[in-house]
Amino acid sequence: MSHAFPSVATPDPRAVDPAEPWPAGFDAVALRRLRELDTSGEGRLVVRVLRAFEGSLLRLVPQLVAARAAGEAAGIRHVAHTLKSSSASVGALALASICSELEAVLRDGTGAPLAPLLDAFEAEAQAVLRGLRPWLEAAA
Amino acid sequence: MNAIAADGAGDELPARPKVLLVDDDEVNLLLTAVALRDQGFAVTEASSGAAAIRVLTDWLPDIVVLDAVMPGLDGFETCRDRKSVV
Repeated sequence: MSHAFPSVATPDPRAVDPAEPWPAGFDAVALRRLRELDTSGEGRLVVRVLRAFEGSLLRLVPQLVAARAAGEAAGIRHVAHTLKSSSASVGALALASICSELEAVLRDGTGAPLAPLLDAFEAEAQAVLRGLRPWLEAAA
Repeated sequence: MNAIAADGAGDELPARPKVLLVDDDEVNLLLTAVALRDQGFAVTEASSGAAAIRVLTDWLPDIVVLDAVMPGLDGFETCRDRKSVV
């Protein structure tokens, strides 16, 4: 008797996870930890979170640029505070580190120059967005 | 930083405690909600202090998890506002 349906395949431990490679520049350990939270097993949580993260960046980076131009330290600090946490959660660790440094300098009033940190923030945020876009398009 | 507030400290929590989760950042809101639901909490989300106050006008959760730093009403101001009407 021939089978009309293929037999259920045993997962191949060497198989590449369909979600990987992760977006360029993102920490794989952080993203795997995120995926473990997805009890549905469909892997859509990581996509939802990264899509939300992209939305946050597109909203908050221009806010920081505007706050910088206006010399508003509170606006810069708010963006740095918000993105510090979410960047770390999704594995954008370089951006999280810059945000953490920015927030500390503004909070402690050390007088350390902000311009190099703000330049680094803007460059890293753009790099993160460049890494995210093709991955999100492929996941759509 | 999040502040966690619970009324009646020491009281028994129900089997599926009701949580009001307040955070202006969508990523943090999403991730914290997923983690809390995974642990058996019934989560209601609000994306600002003002939205949280609207929700709390006619509903009382067992726990409120508030982001401290938010634009508009921050977590501390939201907490003070609710305490003033209790």
